[in-house]
Amino acid sequence: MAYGWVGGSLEIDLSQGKVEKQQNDPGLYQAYLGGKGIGTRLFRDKAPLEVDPFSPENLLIFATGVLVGIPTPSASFGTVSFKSPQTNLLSYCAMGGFWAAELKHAGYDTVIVSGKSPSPVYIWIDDDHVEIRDASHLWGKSTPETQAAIRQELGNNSAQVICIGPAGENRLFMASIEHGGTNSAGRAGVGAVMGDKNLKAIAIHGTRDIDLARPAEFVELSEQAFKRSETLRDWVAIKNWCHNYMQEHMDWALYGNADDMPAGSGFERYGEICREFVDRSLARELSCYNCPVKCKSMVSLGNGKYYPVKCQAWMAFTLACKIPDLAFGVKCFDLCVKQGMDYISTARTLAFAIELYQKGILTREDTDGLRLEYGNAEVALTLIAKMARREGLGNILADGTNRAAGIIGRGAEEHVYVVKKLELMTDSVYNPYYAFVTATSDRADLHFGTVALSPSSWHRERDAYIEEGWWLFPQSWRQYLDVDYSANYAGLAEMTVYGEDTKTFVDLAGICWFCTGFWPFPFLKIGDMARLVSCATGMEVDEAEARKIASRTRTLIQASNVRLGMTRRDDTVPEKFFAEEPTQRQKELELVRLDRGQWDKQLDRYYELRGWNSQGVPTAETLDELGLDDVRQDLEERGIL
Amino acid sequence: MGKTILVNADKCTGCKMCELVCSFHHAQTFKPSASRVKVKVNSREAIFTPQVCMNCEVCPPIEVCPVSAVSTDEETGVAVIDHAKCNLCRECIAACPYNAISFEAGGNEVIVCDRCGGDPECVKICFPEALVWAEAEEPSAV
Repeated sequence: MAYGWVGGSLEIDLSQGKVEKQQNDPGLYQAYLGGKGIGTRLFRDKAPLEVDPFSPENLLIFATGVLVGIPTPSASFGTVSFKSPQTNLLSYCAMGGFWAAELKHAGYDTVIVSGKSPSPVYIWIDDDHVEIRDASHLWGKSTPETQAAIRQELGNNSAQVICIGPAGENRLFMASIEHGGTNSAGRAGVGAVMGDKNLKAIAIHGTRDIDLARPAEFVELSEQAFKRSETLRDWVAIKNWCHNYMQEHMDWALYGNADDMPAGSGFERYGEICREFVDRSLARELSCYNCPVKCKSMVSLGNGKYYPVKCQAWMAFTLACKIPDLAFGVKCFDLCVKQGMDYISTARTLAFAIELYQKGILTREDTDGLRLEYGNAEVALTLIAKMARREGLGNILADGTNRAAGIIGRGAEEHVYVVKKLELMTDSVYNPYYAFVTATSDRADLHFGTVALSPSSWHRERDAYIEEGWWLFPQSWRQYLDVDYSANYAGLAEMTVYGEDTKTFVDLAGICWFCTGFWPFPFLKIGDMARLVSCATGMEVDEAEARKIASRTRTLIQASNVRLGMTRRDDTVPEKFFAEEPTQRQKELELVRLDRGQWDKQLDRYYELRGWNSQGVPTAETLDELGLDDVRQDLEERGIL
Repeated sequence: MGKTILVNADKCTGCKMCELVCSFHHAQTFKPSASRVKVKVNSREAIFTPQVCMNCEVCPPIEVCPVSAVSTDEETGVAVIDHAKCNLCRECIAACPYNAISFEAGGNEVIVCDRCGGDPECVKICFPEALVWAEAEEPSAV
């Protein structure tokens, strides 16, 4: 009998229309637990890494976290592993909501989708019954329409549906998989791969038990964690955020294509605007499965409709288009959700296009007559819709800034802000620690990459955060708290590795990173999660073992991507952040530019702590120690090691 | 009348933790269909409604049950199923206006909230306080 896991998986070949059910290998799941660990391992075992992302041989591996579907606070996540068309590397997206728990209750830890269907289809998983169904009538529908239509035709209102929108069908690099209105697997082109497979959606309904090895102890640990969640709950409450943090958060996010707010643009009173907006418009706060933190909201814009909003959607579009009106930001986010677009890349691409227009690199001839001006809400919304449809300029922008710059030329490359071809999140370069974590992360990404709170930020909570023992890192690392980044980068590599291990374990367990280290007051640390995994599965996992399991996954992803050509040169952020003079506003905020010498020293240290050589290639010893001897052999045979 | 579970749907965030703890308390496993409380989801407007026996003065399931297996508990006022009499026809499930009676998938029983003997697990875990344990006469608790 399986504990923690449910023990089954599905292999679905869309080319053949074939569904196979399999019993999982317990050894594999003990070594990788779930999520992106299982996803990465299975990808390597079942497909050549060099596969063209838009070919039937590419896989989409949906893998649930081991602690999902049972009362683990804030555990609702599964991951999707795939070869990214945008980065051309092995990538993954994590998505919360309700789908992963439902999948486990249906009896499956993992679903592997391969092949390409000759016509649009969706997959219906109802416990033992698994079926590939026609989706021709759903093609072209928005993501909320698709989810509603599928529920209706299945006659099952409690089915959980994940689906792509028109953007995925049109294979935009910024196409996402959407679920329930507020949850997305967004980045690196995951929705485009699903669209390429002609797979519109997966609908899931499950009614099975999940059994645990030591349920009573599990529930007790879980209840203790719930009690600890109160501090974070209050801190993250959207009213608290909008009332107290938006102004400074905006200041951190000024970089790249929108790195300054002109005087008189209204952003001087952005904090106040946010306060007024949330007081007027907040209708409800929402959670994912089992989560005590209400990080998502429904707002009412006074037109009788409700709009979802979450996380950076509060500011991504307002900053990108320099429009200090949250209703505008919310509408853009809503359009992205409907079209199935990653709002982070979409917002950054908008900012990029507007900047090119301002600099004269794009003219009205290139923009189908649109005046790409800051402050023009209608033009922004039109451009998003054009991107989703790949229409005119939208077609050039649809694959993100990197590819668009290549097509546009004329110096557009100078205005691209990407790491490994993926658009940066808003506050990625706020300080050297954030930049370093972004550059070294397994997905070139900040929030759901690996960043843990910078010790020098969140000044207001900092003391309580440390004194009360909330800090994610070992208490003995307190000296890193007061590092002055303009002078030295001490501890940056150490914290990055520790944070990365914690985040990786979070992904394997299926917990939300927001509650386990990204924000202050994490109520589950890596040791707590290890105990929960022990009680759930019956394995004996302590903190050291948890970090080893995390390192195995991290190193496997690294070994895969160095085989695909990733090198030390890729572990950096755009050169401008090292070389360019800060803007006036950035100087006022005392933001420092990056120092190449310090950076390289920390990168050496990071590779050393990870057990990789100076080029970022995992060493033979490290691979052997982590039980990845097949990977060592592979790298040796290819002359990489 | 004594204490009962009061539902404030406006506060429910849809996390469904109540379903899992209920399932564990009653069936020693983690299975939403074994839960006596169910969160109804209106996904378009994100309205979540925890559904549980509401101590109706007139209980339609009692009236429709062909074998008189449904009654109300004198002390708590909630519907009670006599499993010895129940013929699993599920008429009561269709009749309850609050969808508070359900059939456990894979099990063989019609189930309904029993208030956990006066200390409901769902209330204890409900952090947004969408479910509270209070005197039914106190409107201020809602």
